[in-house]
Amino acid sequence: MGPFGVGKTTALRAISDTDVVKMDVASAEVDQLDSAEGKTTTTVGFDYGEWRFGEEVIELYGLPGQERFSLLWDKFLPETSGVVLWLYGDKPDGIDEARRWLDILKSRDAIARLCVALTRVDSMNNALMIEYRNLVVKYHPFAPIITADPREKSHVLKAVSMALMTPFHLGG
Amino acid sequence: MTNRTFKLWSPNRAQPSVQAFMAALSLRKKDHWEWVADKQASDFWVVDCPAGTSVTGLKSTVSLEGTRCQAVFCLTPEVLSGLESNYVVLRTPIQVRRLFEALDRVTDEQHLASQNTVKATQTASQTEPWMQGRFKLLGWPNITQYDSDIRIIELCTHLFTHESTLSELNTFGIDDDVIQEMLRDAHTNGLLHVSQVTEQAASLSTEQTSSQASRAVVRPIKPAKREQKASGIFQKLLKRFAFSD
Repeated sequence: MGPFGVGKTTALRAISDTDVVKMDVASAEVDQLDSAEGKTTTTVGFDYGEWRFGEEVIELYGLPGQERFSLLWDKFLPETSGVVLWLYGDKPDGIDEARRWLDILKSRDAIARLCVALTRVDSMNNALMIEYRNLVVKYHPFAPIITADPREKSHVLKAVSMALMTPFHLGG
Repeated sequence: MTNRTFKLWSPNRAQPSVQAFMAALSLRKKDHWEWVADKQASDFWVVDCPAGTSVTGLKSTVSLEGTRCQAVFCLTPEVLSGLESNYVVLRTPIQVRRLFEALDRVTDEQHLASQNTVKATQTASQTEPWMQGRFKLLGWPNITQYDSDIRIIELCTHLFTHESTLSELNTFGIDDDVIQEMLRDAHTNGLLHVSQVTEQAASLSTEQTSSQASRAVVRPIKPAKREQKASGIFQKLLKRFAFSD
């Protein structure tokens, strides 16, 4: 999950075994969002994909980023095995936005299996990584912060894998 | 360098893993490899270690004490921790490149030992702190910047809960250069705790030196249902996507 236009649907498409069931319509919000320039649709329900391992199916969800869909967050987040939080790495108010999302995840018992993926940022930007790490550590001392391109399957796979494998039990 | 002859012995010659080892070995022209029936006459042993193999049991069954054997190749589908450096763990299915790297290492060591010379020359990279001791991760490096598939996540997860040496990480089948790069980044960013070999006291599990060390400690407990599910999904991903990048 993550803010509008950050690349959640793209990431899901990169890794799903099946065609992603997508609920997009023309977006009236496009003009208001510089960061999503060029994006003409937005998710109004949720995206759904699958990994299939023989008979077993692992469900992949892309949850909408807008606050008005918070009922979907309430339903899905507490049940997830892992969450990738996609964030813009190039936004001036990125840290504030990250804090807001982390609060959303924390309040829905979805903070333990988390990976924070920063898009549109140079992987060598250590100062930025430290800034985000200093924030995220307040919520989860082992949650990974990575730079990632949602179009890159290997990046998305790593993000999901890290979310699944982040040490869960946090002792003091 | 002239071709050297090394003698191999295995108690599991019929096992698929050992046969794969033999097949991979046939590709190596650098040295001459000869299988022998007498373990006491062999330089290296090759042992099949199926899933669930106990390290303690392995060490008692395959003891090098009093033999001329220089190293044991342990062929395993799992991570085997806690083995000394003369046990060379190779993950199955065997990667030829990994096998050759391991052979280079052990044969060079044997060659040097036979000449009674000092072990490998110290290079600049061997002076890195993690080359000399045991280490543990305190946080995740930026994993997407390394040229590796998702096995590196398995390695990092291991390093959260197990202090390890560099040689113990061979079992994950990840390129040495990638591991070095990851450890270097982790060290630079205060995400790596290194203990000197000489200080391998029990206190290591609690002693932490960097500023990151004030973070919470991972405490192994019986996994909850949700954790087991997440770990199960990751194992499936590993089976499908490892070696795919």
